[in-house]
Amino acid sequence: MRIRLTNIVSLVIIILFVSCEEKYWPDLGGKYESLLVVDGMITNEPGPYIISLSLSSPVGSDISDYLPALGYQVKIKDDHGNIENLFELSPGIFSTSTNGIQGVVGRKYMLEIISPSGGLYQSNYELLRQPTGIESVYHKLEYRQNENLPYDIAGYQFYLNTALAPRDSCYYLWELTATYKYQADLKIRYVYDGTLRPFYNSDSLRICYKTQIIKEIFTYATVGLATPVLINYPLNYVSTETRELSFRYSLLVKQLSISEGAYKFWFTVFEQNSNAGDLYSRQPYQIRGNVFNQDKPNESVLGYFTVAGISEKRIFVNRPDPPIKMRCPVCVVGDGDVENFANIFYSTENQWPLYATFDQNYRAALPNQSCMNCELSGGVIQKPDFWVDD
Amino acid sequence: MTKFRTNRIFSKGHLVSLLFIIILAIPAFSQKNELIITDAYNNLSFKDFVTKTESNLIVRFFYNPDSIPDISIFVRSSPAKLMDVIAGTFTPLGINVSIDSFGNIFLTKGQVLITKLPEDFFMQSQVSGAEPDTLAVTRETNKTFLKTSDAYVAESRTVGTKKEGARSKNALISGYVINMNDSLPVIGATVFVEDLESGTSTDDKGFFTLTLPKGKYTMDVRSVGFEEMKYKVEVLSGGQLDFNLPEKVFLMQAVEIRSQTNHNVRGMQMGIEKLSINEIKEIPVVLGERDIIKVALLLPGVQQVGEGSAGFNVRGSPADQNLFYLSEIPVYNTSHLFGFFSAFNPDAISDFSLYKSSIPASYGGRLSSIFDISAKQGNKKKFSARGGISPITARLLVEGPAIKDKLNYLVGFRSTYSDWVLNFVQDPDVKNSKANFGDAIVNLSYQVNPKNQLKLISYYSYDNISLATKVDDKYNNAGASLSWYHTFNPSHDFNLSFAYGQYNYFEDNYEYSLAAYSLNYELQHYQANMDFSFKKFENHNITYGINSILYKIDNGGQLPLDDNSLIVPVYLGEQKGLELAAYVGDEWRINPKLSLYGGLRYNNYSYLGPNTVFSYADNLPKTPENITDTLEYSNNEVIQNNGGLDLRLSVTYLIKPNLSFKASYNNLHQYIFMLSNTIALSPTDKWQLCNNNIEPMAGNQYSLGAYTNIGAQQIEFSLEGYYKKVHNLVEYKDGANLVVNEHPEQDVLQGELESYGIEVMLKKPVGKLTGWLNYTYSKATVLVNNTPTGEVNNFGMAYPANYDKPHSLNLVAAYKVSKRISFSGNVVYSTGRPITYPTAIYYQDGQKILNYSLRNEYRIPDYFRVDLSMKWEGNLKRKKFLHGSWIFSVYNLTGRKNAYSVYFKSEQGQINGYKLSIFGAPIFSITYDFKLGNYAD
Repeated sequence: MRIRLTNIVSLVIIILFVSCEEKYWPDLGGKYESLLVVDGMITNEPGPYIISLSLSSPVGSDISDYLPALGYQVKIKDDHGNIENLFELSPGIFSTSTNGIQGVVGRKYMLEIISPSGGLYQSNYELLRQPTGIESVYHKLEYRQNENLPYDIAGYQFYLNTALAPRDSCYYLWELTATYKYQADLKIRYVYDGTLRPFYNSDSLRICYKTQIIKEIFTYATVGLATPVLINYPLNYVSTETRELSFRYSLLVKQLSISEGAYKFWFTVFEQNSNAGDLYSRQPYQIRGNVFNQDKPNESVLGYFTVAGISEKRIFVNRPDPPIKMRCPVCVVGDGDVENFANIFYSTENQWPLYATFDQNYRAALPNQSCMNCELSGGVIQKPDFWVDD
Repeated sequence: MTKFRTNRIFSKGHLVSLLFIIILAIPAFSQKNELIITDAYNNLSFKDFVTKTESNLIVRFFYNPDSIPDISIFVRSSPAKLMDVIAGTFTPLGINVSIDSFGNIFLTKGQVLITKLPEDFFMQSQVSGAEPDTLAVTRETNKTFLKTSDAYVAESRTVGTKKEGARSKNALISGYVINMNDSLPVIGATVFVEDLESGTSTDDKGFFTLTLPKGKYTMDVRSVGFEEMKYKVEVLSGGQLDFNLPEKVFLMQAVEIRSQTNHNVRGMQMGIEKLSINEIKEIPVVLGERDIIKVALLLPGVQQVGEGSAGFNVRGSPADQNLFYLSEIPVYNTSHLFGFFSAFNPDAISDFSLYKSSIPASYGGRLSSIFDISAKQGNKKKFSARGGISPITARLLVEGPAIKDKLNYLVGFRSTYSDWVLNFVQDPDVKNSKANFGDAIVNLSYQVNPKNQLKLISYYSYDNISLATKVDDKYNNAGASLSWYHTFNPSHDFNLSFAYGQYNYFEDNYEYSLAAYSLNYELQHYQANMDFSFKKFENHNITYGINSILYKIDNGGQLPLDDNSLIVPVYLGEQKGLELAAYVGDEWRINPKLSLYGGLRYNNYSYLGPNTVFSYADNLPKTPENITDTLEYSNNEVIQNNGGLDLRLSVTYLIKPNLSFKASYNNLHQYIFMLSNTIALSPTDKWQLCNNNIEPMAGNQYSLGAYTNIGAQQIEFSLEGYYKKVHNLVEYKDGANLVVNEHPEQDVLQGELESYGIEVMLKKPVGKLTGWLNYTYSKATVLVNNTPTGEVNNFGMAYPANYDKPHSLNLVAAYKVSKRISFSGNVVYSTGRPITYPTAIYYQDGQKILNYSLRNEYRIPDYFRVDLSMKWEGNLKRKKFLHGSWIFSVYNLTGRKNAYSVYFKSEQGQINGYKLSIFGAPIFSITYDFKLGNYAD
């Protein structure tokens, strides 16, 4: 239960219609703390489980901001005396073995880390909770207003109903992964790889499937509810202004039953990373996780070793029926693309293969490659195993 | 010199009347023409010349500084006659010079003052003095002999009778200072006896008393927003003496009387800011809403977290350490619309005082400041109405006598009509929102008889806000006070008052229908005061009394909003506390140079049942695991009792008539605080009483200051420094979030606040150009490091308070071009407020997360703003039904995009930084004010 006054101030501000929000990057005086970051979980789902150790990186750096922590050893222990040493899959990424430790509901787990200098870091033991089932995940067609557009934008709002939880106080974290089918706007007519040839299998690079995690934090606690069940809990919103709803969309919802401590961690992370910057938000502070240096308890270790009971559900939805229009931008071949076609012969080997298409008058044209090759928009041609067409 | 002479003359009791007659009977010119000066006066600037002459000869100059050119005075022969020198200098410039029998020298342009007395004048005084059975006060009608058009020049008065005075050397005189325009008492006016260099000020019903040797004096009567008046008073015996002061704003006299008082220098008070609504009328403000709190922010030592946030911070203290009274009604929420506008209708306010240090012993219960707002009383003479329209609100106020000179009333309303503005906004979240606020005040004042007065004041304010994001907020203030002023005798009076204040809020939240809930909260404050003022002993002004406050707080609860909500109702219980205090204070004028104020206030606070409370193991964090006992208390059973003795001391030492040093020490206790974990106050923050698990707060403040009036005393200058320490400051633990908090002690920590600063203030209270310039350097840091339990905030390190803004500069200036047109402007600068920035990022479950620095380690960019306004009054016709005025103002003239906040959002895996400005462009507004009658009414 929380009070959010976040929008109040924006209301007041906009009443006065002179407020402005502009991009701004303050001078942080070069200060940056390099702290150990723990990220990973053990669940009741089959392993292997991945634990990653990294170092926090400076804010706003353009260089790769993932800095693996090197030279550490990682173990997962349970309260039945089982211990597994994780192996380093790649720098800073540790994995249990395929037939190694398996999360069991009702047991407690902890993480142990030994630093290159021999420092011992441990998490608290956390219980792997009985997961609560997901009763249903469904979508509703909803419209959103936008101040810059004369019409309301249609889209799908996804909702979730949980099953009745096995206990009163449930703390949930939801991980959402979306997969959608889309196609390139233009058919490939030619391919150039030093030689220009007609391209007969014109649909082969047209349909793609793209999978992405939804980078929003969804967390909720049933504390204070008469019945530990959530109905119509709002998840993500997908608008018709993106390509995501152009054909078919699949949402995988993983519902993690976590500890109260993990819930507080995620709730605070949510609050500090989405606050609208008004004065009615809480003072931000360093969020400590559940891993501590046993010799120097004051050392800040970031991140949370999560122990969760997981249940999951996947749904598929088709694009909204007419008259609802898709409003995502579409490639159209123009005269410039026709003129550009000649440049295909000046392309270099590292750009090959290059694809070309026709305009409506069947003139060869060289538009942006991503208009023809769907893989360039982040998807893959390979249909995922779970994908079900209707 | 003046002093010796008057003393010598008047100590010879039986010679008084004789000498009086002799001195005054000498024709004025023949006497004053004999005033001689030497070449020591040669080549002085006029101001220096005036100062020197006034300090060496028994003369006073009266002139309008704006009409006197900046010239030097040449004394070409030595010795020379004063009047010849002055006349020789000014007559060629077209400035008339005249002198009256009291040594008052008038310099007027285009107008000659007749200063000669009518022949029968002294006859009249003698006759009245000889009739002991008539009124004790004789008032001369000077209009006949001082034939200026509207000249408020010295009147002469006689108090008492010779016969009554024959028995004693000293006389006790008392009376009221009354607003000439509406016959209402003037509170806090100073009555200064120039000859004795001592004086007093009027109390909250405009009453004063003075004990002084019989004799002839020049009395200087002054109050904020009023013209200063000088009176020649002959004291024959004790008696009543009332003064009528004309309001400054309505004054249209040809001769402006120059500021003569050294109130800034001589007054006992330090760290007090007093402003009348007249003085702040033209200060430009956002959207044309005149606002006393926004004006208070332009005073030294007063800070605010952000533009448009509620509450303010005085000398480094959090906002809950300020106590607001509106004519004795305690007000807990002082703003509308979360702080954008103050909750007080400016038309219904006469003045306010802000005590930042040397808080009198009659006040207690808050560590930082007392903000005492005086509601205006109804006009005693005639019906009157006024009102106004600004882009945000409409106002209407009516006042008048119900029974002439006995019972008068004032009723004021203010309401927004701002909803229409929302419809212009494209943003759907705003378009679909609603915001409404308003307030009302009703005052009744009944003069039962000269010794008894009753006042009834009631106040109400509300806000209804409905957000498209599915949150509705309603919050209300309500209160009333009933006061009885009674005078036992001229040296002893008393005030009994009962006051009630209430604050409540309701919030409906239906963001997620399954968990839709409503929250509510209510605070009730019942107060009874008995205050006495006792002036029997010469040079002592003793105040004593009893204050009692009963707090009743309903913590409310969280209830399901409708049938669809699964929220389990949570009731958060109630709190009750009783704060009793007895105080005594004495303002002791030890000698003309040295004055001392000493006050003692004993506070006794009880946290009362019925309640169920926990006790926790000692030296362990107050967490559910460390509860050792659950205790039940019955109704009114004392759960916790705390006693605290407050000490208030201040001393004023007058080095020269226009230079003084003051020092003060204040010790205070506070038993109620605000549970707030947000950066600025929000209306849903709850007031919470100290209890068996949360210790009362205590604060000490030391301050030191120097005060002087410079430039022929036209500019008041002061320099004050302070050091403050607050113990047991209540701070939220990092991350404590629950508004629905059944056991607040588990979420708070107590720490220490340290603040210090220097305030420099330059003020020009009179003339065509008025205003002030101040600069403040200050620091405020908080340390939460609970050693026994190991609980800390910010890793146990001290951090700057949210409102810590080390450098702050405010310039407020108003220039009156003519009676109809005036301009005013503000320039505001301050260091940016402290802020916590992210200093690192890390990944968690595929998402980028920010890691924040130490608390308030950084600052947002500095704040700078310029405002301008022009006031245009309607015509000056004498006979008119309605007088209107227009105020055109521009807030943030330069359009600087001052940062309100800087924040970071994780958007599609990218961390973006943003700066938000609330008033990022100049804001123009027009306000129309009207009143019945003409300009001067």
